[in-house]
Amino acid sequence: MPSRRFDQARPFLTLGILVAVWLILPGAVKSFLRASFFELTAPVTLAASKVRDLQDFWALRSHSKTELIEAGRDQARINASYEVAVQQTAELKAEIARLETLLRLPSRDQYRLEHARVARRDFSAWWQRIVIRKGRDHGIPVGAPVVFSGGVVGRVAEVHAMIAVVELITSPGVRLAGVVEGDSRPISFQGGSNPAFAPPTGIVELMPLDIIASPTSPKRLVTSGYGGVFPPGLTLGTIVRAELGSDGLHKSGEVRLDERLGSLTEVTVLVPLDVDAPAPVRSSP
Amino acid sequence: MNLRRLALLCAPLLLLWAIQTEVNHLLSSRQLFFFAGGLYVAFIALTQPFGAGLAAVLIAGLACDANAPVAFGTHAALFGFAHNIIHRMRDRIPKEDAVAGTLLALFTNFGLFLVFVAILSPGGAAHLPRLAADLVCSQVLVALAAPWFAALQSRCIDLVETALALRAERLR
Repeated sequence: MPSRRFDQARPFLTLGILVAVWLILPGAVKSFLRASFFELTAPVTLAASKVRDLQDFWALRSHSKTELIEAGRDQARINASYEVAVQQTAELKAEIARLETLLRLPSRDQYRLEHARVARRDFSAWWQRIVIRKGRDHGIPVGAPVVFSGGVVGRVAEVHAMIAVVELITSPGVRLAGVVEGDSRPISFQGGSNPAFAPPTGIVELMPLDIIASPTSPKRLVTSGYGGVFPPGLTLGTIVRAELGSDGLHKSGEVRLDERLGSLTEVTVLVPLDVDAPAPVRSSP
Repeated sequence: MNLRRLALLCAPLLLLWAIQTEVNHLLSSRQLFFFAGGLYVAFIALTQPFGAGLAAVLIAGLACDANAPVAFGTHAALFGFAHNIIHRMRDRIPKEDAVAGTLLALFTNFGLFLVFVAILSPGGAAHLPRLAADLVCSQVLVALAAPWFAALQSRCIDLVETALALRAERLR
């Protein structure tokens, strides 16, 4: 009978021994294994992303010539307005450079822009991450801010040879300092619960009492520039609710984030220029 | 432990991981998440010898761990534990019955999801509706995918058995 009991417990004993060995395994071995398993699955992620691109390409090819001509015409209009904006930007940059030289100020160009396709989106209640198709080979460092046309996306959490993982600002664990547009007092922003079938939301805390926000008069929340990760003035979201906090000294509230964060296909990594990263091997998107 | 058997057991699990990530990519715009832990474990634990089955689910768990911001080994340990429980009960579960297999995958998925909620829960009642939506979505997708995945795995296992039988015959 004891032998039969032991036979029944043997699977759990085996697993227990494996878990015990795993717990005493050095961290370096675990890190190596983690990186190995990630790199093992990375080609699958990349291949799936490329196949999706090909699928989109064939879908677009099925459009008629008339649609193509209309799209080209619209694109030409957008390009014309962008060309004007580019000229204005160049003039303003030249003006800034002239003033910097006159006043002997440090240069404001702190970032290089690295555009990247999104290979995978992974949004659960526990984490919100995307995988981009650029990594160490393109000079992307850990911690670099990631943006898109609607504002801040998040920051680079892991970098691998060909791909990088970005933790989104919608993640419940993300905290950063923001300010209400036109105000200089910092507010604590945190990724919130992201209800299904609804736009992502965040939470703001430690908000000054004089800031009033409601769904009818929302306030734009932007990055403060404190902490050194995100440059100041990038859109985080809009504060749609502000209520007196439990301490009675500050307000807390809800931030409505950009809906497009859930369907990102292309993002831009702001690579700090002073980072001691190796020069990018590739520069193509 | 036969390495060929292990490789052929891991191949469908890697395919399942790829499909799961693609489904999650598509569901992300609706803020939904597909958790497929039960599928990784149920059929292997039901049909495979202990050593090869445990090794395969541990490898699948480590692949999941490498792609998630959790302590490395969390998925592997939980998959291993679920594998052992099913392996212990498998004499009482009809192996050939697709409905029984699907129900087992659903129960395993439900149990694993609850354990993950307990371990990783961001806290607060605000997250409960989202977790409930993720659970419902996962269970529906597991119920849909389970018969196909069971058939795929049994075909892979048939391949292994045939290859091993041929090899044994050649050696004889």
